[in-house]
Amino acid sequence: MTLQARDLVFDRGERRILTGIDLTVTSGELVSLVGVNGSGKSTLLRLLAGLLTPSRGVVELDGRPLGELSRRRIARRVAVLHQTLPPVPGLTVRQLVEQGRFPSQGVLGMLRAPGSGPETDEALELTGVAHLADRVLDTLSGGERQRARLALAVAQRADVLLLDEPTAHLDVRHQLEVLTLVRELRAARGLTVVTVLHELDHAARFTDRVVALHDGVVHADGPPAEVITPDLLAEVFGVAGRVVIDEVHGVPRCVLDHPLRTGGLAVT
Amino acid sequence: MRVFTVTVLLCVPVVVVAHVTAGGASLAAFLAVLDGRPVGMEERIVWEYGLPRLVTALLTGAALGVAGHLLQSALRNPLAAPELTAVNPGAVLGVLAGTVLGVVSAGSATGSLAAALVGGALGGGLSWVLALGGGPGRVVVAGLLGSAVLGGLTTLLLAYQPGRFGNLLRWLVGSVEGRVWDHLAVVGWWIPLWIVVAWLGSAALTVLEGGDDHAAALGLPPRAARSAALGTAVALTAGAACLAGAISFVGLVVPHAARRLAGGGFRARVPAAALAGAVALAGADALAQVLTRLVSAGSLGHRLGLPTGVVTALIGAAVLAAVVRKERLP
Repeated sequence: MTLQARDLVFDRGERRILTGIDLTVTSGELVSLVGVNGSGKSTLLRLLAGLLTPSRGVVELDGRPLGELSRRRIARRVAVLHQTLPPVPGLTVRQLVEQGRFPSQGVLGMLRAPGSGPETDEALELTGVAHLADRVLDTLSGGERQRARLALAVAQRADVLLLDEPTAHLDVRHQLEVLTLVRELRAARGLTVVTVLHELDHAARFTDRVVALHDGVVHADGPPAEVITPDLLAEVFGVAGRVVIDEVHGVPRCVLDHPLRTGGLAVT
Repeated sequence: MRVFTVTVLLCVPVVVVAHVTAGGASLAAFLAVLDGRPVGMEERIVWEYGLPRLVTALLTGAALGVAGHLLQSALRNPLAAPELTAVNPGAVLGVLAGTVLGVVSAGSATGSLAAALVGGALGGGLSWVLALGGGPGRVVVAGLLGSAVLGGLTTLLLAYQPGRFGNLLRWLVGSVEGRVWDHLAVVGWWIPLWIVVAWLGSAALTVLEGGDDHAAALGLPPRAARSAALGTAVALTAGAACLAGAISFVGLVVPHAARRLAGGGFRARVPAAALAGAVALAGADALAQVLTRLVSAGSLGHRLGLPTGVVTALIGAAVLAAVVRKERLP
């Protein structure tokens, strides 16, 4: 499996969001996209999912442009988890996860299928939400809800998992739980994962490759130890800081000192 | 789901019996008609007036219940309903305008249906354009605005040719009184057909409820799916409007009750909305008949046929107020 973006440009109205993005993700990789708000991370993720059409350039899945594939065919190969799911009154975990079968079974197949199939049960087990299957989604904690949403993606049986800030609005414990689960799923199902992350420490600890975006271009791309440097903190995030090695996990960790000032204003 | 099955199994016969007896017929005559023995005068009245009226109420209620369910799910708005998105007033105006312009010959079921479809689609389109990009509150305001405009045009047509539509007044308020088998000839299959279409789209509708991003990520083009759902809602509403005019609040209230009864399981939602709608409207019509008899008894024999639409409007308005309060809508 190869997901490749070539010379990708995306404009929103007059504004250029992404410029000349080249990115190749291969089977089994776990890649994080990092950068400040507005750097184009989520837009790139949506382009990789085929949910947006590039203004120029192309995204290919195993050599075939996404534009040539139907939405359903893409959904059978690529699962996407958006930042939030609008509340659906009364929807239970099992009913949500069951929807993961939609790309494979379609409108009529879903009606014919007797309740939830083996894929749904397996997804509930793998993500540790089987005991919550009949609970209404709105009654779960943020972490449980996120695991249920990962179960939906697993039930989809896609090769590629695209995550848009899977740890947003979660407390630290649930952040670690969700990212650990993503790693476990990658190992268990041989998934290829691309995830937008806000926390550089999470990117360093949980992903094999970090792609840093800045003003719509790829500023750096490589293993965490090579990408996460004091220069990256300064140039991309506008922060003065140091990068130390976490001896327990053997990964870089950022120690942030203060925002750098440009023209009298703190860069945020 | 079990609660739902039991409730429906209990409610349907109760409402049918209530409807028959409220109309003044005896249960024995009703059973004789069902048994294929409409011999006496009472049986003939049941066969020619009572039963078509009951079937009309059941079908119209089912159509409005499912249409409301489709609108609320596809627009992700608990206040979307045929009468609050100007679909129903549009359909009514369509039939009336078609008759005035001579496009629809009076009494033509197919012509009325076509006119109701065009009117319903235009009414819905008008309110959706007015509400573009707004939240649930704005959809309701736009729908009411659209309904007011279409209602105004309907009144204009009535004032333009007074006398011509005297017998249509009851239909305009929403009533199943006076419906006979001829009225059901076309719409009798039209409504069940579109309920089946709605049921076949249940899985897609559930996916659509999660929002456009969610739907697209699962391989469902959201715009096309939403258009299909809204089109089906217009088809059902047009059928209902042809049969019973502007029945209000059934399409708004019933989906909420059906959701409570059927839970979030998507396979049961359309049947639940259809059955709950059928039971609600047949029940409201039974109540209208009882009230009519009470009022007639107290007014020196002058018979005032209380339109079903008045009963649904009075009950529905109270429920709408409760929904708005409970859901704290913007």
